[in-house]
Amino acid sequence: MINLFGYRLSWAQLAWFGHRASGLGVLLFLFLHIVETSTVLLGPEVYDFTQTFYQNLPAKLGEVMLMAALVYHSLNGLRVIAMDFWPSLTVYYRPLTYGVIGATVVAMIPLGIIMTRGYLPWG
Amino acid sequence: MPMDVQLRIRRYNPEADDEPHWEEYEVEAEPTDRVLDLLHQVKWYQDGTLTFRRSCAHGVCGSDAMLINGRNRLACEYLVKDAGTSITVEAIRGMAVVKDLLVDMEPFWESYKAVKPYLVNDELPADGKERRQSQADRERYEDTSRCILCAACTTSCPVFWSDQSYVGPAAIVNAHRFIVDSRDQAKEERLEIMADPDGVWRCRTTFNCVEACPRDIKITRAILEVTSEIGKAGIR
Ligand code: SF4
Ligand code: FES
Repeated sequence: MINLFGYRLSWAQLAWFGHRASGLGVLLFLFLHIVETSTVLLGPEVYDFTQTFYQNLPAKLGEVMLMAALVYHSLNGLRVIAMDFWPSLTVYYRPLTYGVIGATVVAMIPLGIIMTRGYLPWG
Repeated sequence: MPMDVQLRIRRYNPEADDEPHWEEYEVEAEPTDRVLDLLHQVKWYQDGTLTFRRSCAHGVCGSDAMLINGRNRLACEYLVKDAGTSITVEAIRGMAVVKDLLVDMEPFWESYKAVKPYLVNDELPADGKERRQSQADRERYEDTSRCILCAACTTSCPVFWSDQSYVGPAAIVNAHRFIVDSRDQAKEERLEIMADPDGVWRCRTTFNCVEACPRDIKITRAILEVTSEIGKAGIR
């Protein structure tokens, strides 16, 4: 039993927390991305240099995390929007929540492999 | 077969304690006993100063919602065989503790009263006797009319924990009860109240309320039905 703020954590509450965390994570990356891309204004050498920061395994894994955050945030966002339009859907909040979490995991398996293929033994 | 249960209760007496603290009690219980029975055992035979609220003891009056084993429930409905042999009991969250498990429900009643939880209709019924409605119209508020005002939902909501000015699920459920009642004439007024910044828009669909409700009311559905009524009425 996991407790958050001393209250038993349910999957639906975790889904909401994950939505916030992934949204914030993507926003932070966006800022980083703006800064990094704007170095192009300082000339091609500077820009090429900043791009080398992404050419290593930890950065790749970070990108995989970013992708997971994007996939989860979009799918969960669709769930929330769908419930807004059809309130009766809320009755199925459990299967819908599990569905979103499961679909994120399933989608990330091929995506993760494709994104990190340069580092895989057969890549 | 009786079993030994370890009962941990978060106690607080504002006249004597600076901080709430945990106290442990050993009680003997049958698996079919309710957590309320354990609290009675403590109060009647071990420590008469333990304070909590209960009335009907059968899940009807809604006075004994507590945070039991990390989740809001009615102490009179939660059985030892489901709760296990180690049980923690706290007062519900987000309300001022008067003593031990007893909280000040006044703000909760204020939010409840704010939604005008009564039928408003100044016209005489067409036949002078009764206001009829179709079965389908009656069905619309069947679910939300079952609320016992226990506050388990409102005090399980993370939005309410962080800001008690949110009217909370219980008040919305009771607003819904009349908003979708075809005989009622104060729908607009209630929708205006619900559209307030501290109203229905603060719901973040975490479903803690739904999981906590002892009557299995589809609270989030009611909340989102109210938001869509606000939309249809063109209220901003
Ligand atoms: S909606 Fe359910 S949890 Fe909330 S006050 Fe009513 S009965 Fe209690
Ligand atoms: S004592 Fe009445 S609901 Fe539990």
